[in-house]
Amino acid sequence: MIAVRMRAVSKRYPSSGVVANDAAELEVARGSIHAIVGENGAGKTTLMKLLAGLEAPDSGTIEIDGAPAAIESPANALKLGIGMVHQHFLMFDELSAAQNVFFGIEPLKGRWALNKLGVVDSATLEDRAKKLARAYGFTLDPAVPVGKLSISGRQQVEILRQLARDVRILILDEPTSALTEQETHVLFEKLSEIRRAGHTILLVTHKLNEIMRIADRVTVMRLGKTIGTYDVASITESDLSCLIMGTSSCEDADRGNTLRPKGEIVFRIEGLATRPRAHGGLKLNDISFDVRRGDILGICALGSNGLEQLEDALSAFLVPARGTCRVGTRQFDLARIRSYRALLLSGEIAYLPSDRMRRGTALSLSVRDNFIAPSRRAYFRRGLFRGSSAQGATAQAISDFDIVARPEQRADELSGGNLQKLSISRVFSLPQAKILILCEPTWGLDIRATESVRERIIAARDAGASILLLSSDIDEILALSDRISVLSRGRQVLLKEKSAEMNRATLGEFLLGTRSER
Amino acid sequence: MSSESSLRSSTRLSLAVGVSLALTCAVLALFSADFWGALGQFFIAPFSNRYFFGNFLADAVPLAISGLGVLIAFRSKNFNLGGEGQLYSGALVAGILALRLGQATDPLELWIAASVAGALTGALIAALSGALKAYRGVSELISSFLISAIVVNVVDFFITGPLQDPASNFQTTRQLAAQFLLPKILVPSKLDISACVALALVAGAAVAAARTRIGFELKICGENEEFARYCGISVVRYDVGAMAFSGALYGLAGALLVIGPQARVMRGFSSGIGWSAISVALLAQGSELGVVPAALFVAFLGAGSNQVMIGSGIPSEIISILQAVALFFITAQALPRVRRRRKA
Repeated sequence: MIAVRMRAVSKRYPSSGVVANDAAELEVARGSIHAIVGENGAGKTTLMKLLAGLEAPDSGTIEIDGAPAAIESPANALKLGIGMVHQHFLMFDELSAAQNVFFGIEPLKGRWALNKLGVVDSATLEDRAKKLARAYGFTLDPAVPVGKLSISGRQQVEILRQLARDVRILILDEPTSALTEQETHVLFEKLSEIRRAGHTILLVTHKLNEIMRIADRVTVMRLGKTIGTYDVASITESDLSCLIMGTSSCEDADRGNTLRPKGEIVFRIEGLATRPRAHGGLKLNDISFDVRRGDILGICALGSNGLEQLEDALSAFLVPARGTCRVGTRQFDLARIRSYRALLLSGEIAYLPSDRMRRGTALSLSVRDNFIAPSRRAYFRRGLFRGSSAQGATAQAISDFDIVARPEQRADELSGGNLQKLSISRVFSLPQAKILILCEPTWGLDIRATESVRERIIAARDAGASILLLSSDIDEILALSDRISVLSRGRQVLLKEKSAEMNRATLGEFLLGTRSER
Repeated sequence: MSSESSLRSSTRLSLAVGVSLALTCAVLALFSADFWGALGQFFIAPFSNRYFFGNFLADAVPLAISGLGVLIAFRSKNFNLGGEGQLYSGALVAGILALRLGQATDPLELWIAASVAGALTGALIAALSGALKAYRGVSELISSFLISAIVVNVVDFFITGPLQDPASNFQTTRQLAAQFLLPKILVPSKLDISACVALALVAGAAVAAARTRIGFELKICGENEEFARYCGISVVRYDVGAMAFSGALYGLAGALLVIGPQARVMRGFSSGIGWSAISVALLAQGSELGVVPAALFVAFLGAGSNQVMIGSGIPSEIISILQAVALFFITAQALPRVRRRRKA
């Protein structure tokens, strides 16, 4: 039985001229886990948005359970039993898990007239949430405010919220991008459980190993078109990778991690601690590390474990309680933000923010304006703007970094991946920066772009740069770092040279705070 | 702004202008004995002779200057609602200075001194709101409005108290001697060379916004404060600076009125210009050059209504309602663009 059939579906964004879906085809069997893969901008998310009623197709037909369907709105999709869990969760932090799950469909107290008053029956609410969670094997305390939950906990709430609305076709957009190995494992168990209940799951992802692990079938998309749909059992990971990239040679570059003699210490942080006020009471506790010349220090943490605060402190967005920063022979008191800020502005340190939408881009300005903004001084001669040189530099970056954009285009017309590439191109275009603070550099990038960014990071290291890599992606930390540090609940639980014994599982233990070596 | 949405918003704006003009006609039809006569007075009289036309243009001058200031502040997402007080106090300080300097200087020096003094006064008052926002997180919208309400009363006190002209029956200061007033352009109307100042300011601001680093940084501050900080731009400086600039233009507009058409500081003479300037800025749709047609349109509404009031005996209250309705329509259409948050 076919749960979803999309035929010759096209979607074009007229403002940017981008064809997101070009006569795309999709057939999903009921009760299966169906993965959708492709590079950034291949049209995966758009196709799913069409299915979830968030966008309307220009042409093509959609059939749900064999019947033609016009899905005009998310509410409409919900009636057909289609629900989508987004990459970024939208929920009420102060409300409990149960309240979030049943938001808008709460059981009400009393009958008849009393019922119209809309008084929520809290006892029944929690009871139902518990039952629902148990039915799919979720271990979730329904009373806890979701703001206090980890990313994986919030994700479970989001999934339950869909299930509570009788969703039979569940769409998950990049569900594992912020999860640890252990959490991913747990999620996949739940997904199997949901499949067993007869539901259909559509999984948008970049990660091929996950497809091999959990999906039944996989549809590959490239440039808005569907390349094909394959049984996972009959395809290998490397075949899949070739299909996605559209090339025949797609060997993973082997970077090795030869132990080279390290240079002198270039950047050192000592005794960094923050006040407990911000970030839900979490504070950084006595963080110390150094980065040498030609060295990559990877600092890893799960969401809300201090990585965000570390980034803010290092970029002078947050004034820490104490801590010193040493650059060469100069010393800066991080608590006295002015001198440190001057150091950041001097151009010696290049900083790639993790939040590319808020901190990394002015969305309503042009790509060119966004590109030149941090180094704008170079583009004004005697106070007047040098348009052609700004245009040229931006065009150069666009071609160097394979960004799908025009310099004069508005930044908000770019896809998330292309925005990230724009931010990255900016950081790597600062010639005098010897220290690079890179936060979640490949978050949301596809395989090819991730690969090219990682190559650049390695190349910069080999050229003598000192790189501080802040990332919640364990694979990335393992792939790039010469030394690894882990934060858990604001404490530094690990700092050592990378060795063969370090893998996803061992790092996971440190990340979850069950192990400490400091 | 993509071309599609900018087209849509211009369509909406033209529609608003059209509706407000249609409404004007409807009111004229209802309240005037001679509809066609009144219509002619409204639409044609401001252009009918040098005197009316010059006065109509002169009314647009302070609107253009102060509207430009509001527009620049809008660009950095600062809303200066204190224009009434800033303009009025700028006028007062310029007036005091001009009366004091009196015969001792030559006119050019006096004009410059009075303009600078007026601009500084407005700038100081507005900068206070900017600083309160930057350092204390006080909404500039509220603080500028409330400060202005106080300032207006203080200025009233000076005009009617220590500075009252004993020889006059009006609540006003003494009058400036004729040789110290700005040279007129379209005699016998009240239009003077401040019109050139307004055009120069608009052109200068347009160039500065498009071509200078300050313009670029201001734009970034207005679009995304966090990004501005990431780029190493001092957001505080631009909060205070943008407010001060807009206050300075209000103050300058006030000063130019005093050394121009007014020739004195009369109680309440500038009432309403501060608010109209906001309409001008909204009408201009974020474009410096758009300030000129916007100011002309708002001045035209005023001039046309005045003609009707004089010519066809429609009560002044009706005229005020007419103007208010027109500005309401336009503001309602233009405001969403300034404050809109894009849908995700």
